[in-house]
Amino acid sequence: MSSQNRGDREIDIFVEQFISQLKRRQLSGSHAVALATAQLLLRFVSAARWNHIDSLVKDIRALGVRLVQTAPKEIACRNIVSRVLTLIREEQHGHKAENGGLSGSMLGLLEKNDKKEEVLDKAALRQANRDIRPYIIEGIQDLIDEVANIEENIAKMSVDEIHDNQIILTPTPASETVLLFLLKAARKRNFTVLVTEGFPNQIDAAHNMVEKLTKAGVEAIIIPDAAVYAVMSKVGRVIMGTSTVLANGGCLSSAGSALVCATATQHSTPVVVLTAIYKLSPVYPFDVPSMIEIGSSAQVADYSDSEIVEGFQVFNPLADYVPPEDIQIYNTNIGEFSPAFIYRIVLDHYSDAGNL
Amino acid sequence: MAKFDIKETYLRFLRDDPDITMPVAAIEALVQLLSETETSTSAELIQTLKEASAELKTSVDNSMSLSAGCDLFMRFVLRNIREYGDWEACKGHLVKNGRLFAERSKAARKTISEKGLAFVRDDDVILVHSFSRTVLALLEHAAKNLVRFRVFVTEAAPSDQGKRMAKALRERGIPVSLIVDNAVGSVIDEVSKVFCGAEGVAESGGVINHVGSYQIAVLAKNANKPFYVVTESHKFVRIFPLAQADLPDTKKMFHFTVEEPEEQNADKGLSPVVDFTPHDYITALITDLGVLTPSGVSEELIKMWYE
Amino acid sequence: MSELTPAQLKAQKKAAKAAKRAASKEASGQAPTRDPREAKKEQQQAAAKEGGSSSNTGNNSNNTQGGSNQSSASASSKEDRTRASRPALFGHLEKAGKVTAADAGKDVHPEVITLALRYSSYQIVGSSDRARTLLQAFQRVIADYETPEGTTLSRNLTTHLGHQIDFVISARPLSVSMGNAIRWLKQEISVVSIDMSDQAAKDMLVEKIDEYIKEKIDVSGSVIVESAVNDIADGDTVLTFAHSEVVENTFIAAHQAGKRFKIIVVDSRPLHEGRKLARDLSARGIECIYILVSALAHVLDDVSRVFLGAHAMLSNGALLSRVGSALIATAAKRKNIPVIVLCESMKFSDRVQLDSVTLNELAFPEMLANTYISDKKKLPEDKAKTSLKYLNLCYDLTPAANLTKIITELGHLPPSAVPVIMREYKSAYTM
Repeated sequence: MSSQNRGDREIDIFVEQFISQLKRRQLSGSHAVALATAQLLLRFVSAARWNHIDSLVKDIRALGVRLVQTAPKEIACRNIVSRVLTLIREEQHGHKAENGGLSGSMLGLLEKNDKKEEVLDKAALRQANRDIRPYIIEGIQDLIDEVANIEENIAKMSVDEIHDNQIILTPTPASETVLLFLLKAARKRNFTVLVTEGFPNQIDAAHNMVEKLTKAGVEAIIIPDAAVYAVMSKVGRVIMGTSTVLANGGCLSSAGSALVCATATQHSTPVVVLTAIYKLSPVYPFDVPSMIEIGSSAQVADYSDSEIVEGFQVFNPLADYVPPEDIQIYNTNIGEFSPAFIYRIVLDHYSDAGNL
Repeated sequence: MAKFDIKETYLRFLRDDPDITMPVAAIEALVQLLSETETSTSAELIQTLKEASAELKTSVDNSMSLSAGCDLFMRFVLRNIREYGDWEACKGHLVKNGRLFAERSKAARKTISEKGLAFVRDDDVILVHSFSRTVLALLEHAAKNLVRFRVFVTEAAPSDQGKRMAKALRERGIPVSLIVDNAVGSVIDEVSKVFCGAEGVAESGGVINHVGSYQIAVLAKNANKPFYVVTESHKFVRIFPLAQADLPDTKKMFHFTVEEPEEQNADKGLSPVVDFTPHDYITALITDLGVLTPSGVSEELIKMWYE
Repeated sequence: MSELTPAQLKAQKKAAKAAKRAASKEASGQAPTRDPREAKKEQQQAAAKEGGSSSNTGNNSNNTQGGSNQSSASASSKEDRTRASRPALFGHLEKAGKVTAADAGKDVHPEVITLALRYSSYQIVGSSDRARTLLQAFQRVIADYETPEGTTLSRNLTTHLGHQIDFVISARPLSVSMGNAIRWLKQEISVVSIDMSDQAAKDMLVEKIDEYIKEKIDVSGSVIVESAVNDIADGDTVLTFAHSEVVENTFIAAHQAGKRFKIIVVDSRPLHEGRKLARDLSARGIECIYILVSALAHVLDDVSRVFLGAHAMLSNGALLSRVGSALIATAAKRKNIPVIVLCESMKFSDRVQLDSVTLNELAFPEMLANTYISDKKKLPEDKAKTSLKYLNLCYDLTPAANLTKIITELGHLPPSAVPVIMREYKSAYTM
């Protein structure tokens, strides 16, 4: 009894620490958040005491709800929790019983209700629980490995993607994935990169990216956001990162990306989005404005200027929604997919069990 | 024993239950056939069902939807016979629970309303074409959830089903403006989104619906407005029309003559009842299985029929 | 080959190194280093300019920008490296030059010198404004002009003006409006009767310039405003970009006419011209929202109209305007929002251009490197020292398909009608 309490208290401390880091944005950025969440869940599953797997699922789900409430716009967090829940359900029932969920249900209209119910007696249940834990832990560890090595896998494709003497445009200078991608290609290819300033939120990241690229021998040029249309006729590819990929094949990226992609579409310039599977979300964008975080207006117009403060509204969104029509391909760590196929990848990785 | 009249049975089911959809009525009719027919081998059983389905499809006008039901049922039977072997038990279950499918399909409408609720937002101006039970259920559900919106309803000539829809919406406290079909272009810029029902969903993800749906979809695409199809999953049909001319209905209109018709509205008899909206004009399908992109529909149909 | 002393060898090596450095600088498009004496003169000029023009423009951000530009230019000319460089990619484009008063030829009028420097530092921006101020400076030039022995006014004045124009161009390339005005003026000069006395001719020319400014710029502007006001309805949300004089006047007129509407001002780096517009409008009680280009996708759903100003309308119906306009127009057209261009006929050009990079103007890259939102926040010193490449384009080209209509003083036109107007009304707009 007492050991259980101690175990519970320890894990509670970790959880509280994690939540406070999220709240204070000490932990931010989808990669860091995803990794940290996976590691937290690993600890949680190892440390927690549970008799029945359903109670573990319930606890994780409750934890997931709390995390989502703390950082509703950090989709990576929610996705990792969903992945783990899905994983647990898979381990529990062997391979997925239904064939992908949809066609099963169609014929389910006609089938008997009671056909699918499995009745396990208590002994078998305890047996099942004992056996499953190491598999779940292994599964989560695989997930952590996947998340940690994502950028390597994506960068591998870069040499094929970029041609010599091409001009690449990127509207997401803060994306580590894109930077790694370009640096890897730079070893074998000779190309130019145009980086939008992403003023005001991304401008430091833009300078950072251009500096690093220049050091690696790539010609990198900073352009103001307004100049995107003007240069698009010379651009061969738009390569960008994303924070979340949505179930309809659209995605959320840094502010200004939507305009860049719309311009690219008009010029028939292909848009390539680099992303990791843990950024895929089963969410459909019903209400786009609710998904976009708004940043400080002080970045746009100085608060010390009283005329501005009293005179007019200033507005500084941090993200943009890019519709699937403007995207040609998603390069992920498990392959390249068109936006129309994303829903399938989402289904592969998230079942209904993953719903919070 | 009197010969089983599949068509009459089907029509009876439709008459008796105003809420039933055509594919479900077809399934019910086929189940009824099963219960009244003795077959000794499964091959004979399949043959009987095939003949009945064919008869139903050819004898009823506008058989698109009921085809979906027949095909679904056939698929189910074949699968059960092949995989499960205990066909007799299954048959018994089907016959015993005749009304089950009708109930389940109505439940589907409820699921659709819940899944689609998030698509209806405050201050929306929604355009709706003709009469659709699923769209009506969805909008009713939204109104019950205190979402404030207004609706343009097209008259939907020549059937004038739109007037029926307008009345139903108004009865539920939803403000409606009834417009003629030709006025959609005039209002489309002010519309937030379009909801449309379906008689059948094709393998490509395109839909067959009341004539006029295609035109509205084209206008919506031009004006950059989302076009959503709201429908049950049991309406997925194994057809892949390539052009409007592929629909038998369209051919009716290619009848040119210099003779003025004797009766007033004889010309109307040549109007088609349905048209086909290709998948590129559809933003998403809101079904009881969830929100699907048109490519999602193709995948599911392929998996169901070709495995 | 004669033997060189160690000292000579050293000198030779040093010279070779210097030559190499200069060559590499040329290749990357940087301005060559200058004499420290000239740098000092620059600083004096800058100081004089700042003092003189702060009362004139009242646009503080532009002022300090201009000042810091000049001082940074002089500072960097002392160091061997400039902080920011122009990419070779767009090296074929016209560049703003770093001129000083010392670069002007002896017969360049002091007013023209001052004006040119103000153009070059972006203190005077905007097609109409530049044309107006140039013509006004030319009035001074003409008033002070004396025909030299052995030639006539009608022949020599043109050449004299040519020298002024050359200096202006070296400071900053001409706008289309300025080009049209100059062409008109040269035409007027060439038809001066030989019988007219110099003084009478000069007086006549000065008066004609007054008329031109009045008709082609001021009155045209008013006519456009009067007409454009009708395109703003009660309850509209109108979007505009940067700062156009005639667009601002339209909003003010609509407000005075009692219409209730909202303005969204979209702005961009480095000039932040939209801030001035937003300030002016809200000072008059017009409801304004101010955003940067990257936030555009969020506000478009509510926009009923887009009003844009123009640098020039090209013969293929395309719009040449402040860089960013094309982006706005494309995004709006996608949502079927009408895009209306307000443009006086004096900005129409015979030129045809297909994209933004065939012909454009590159401004100083330092303008992007040195300033953030308020000029207080600059790039940290270590970042500023590395030579990062910046692309500071001035204009972009919006194809005719993305425009709905052009409002000129001659009427409302679809973009395809621009060359028609230029042909039919050539007499009307060239006077």
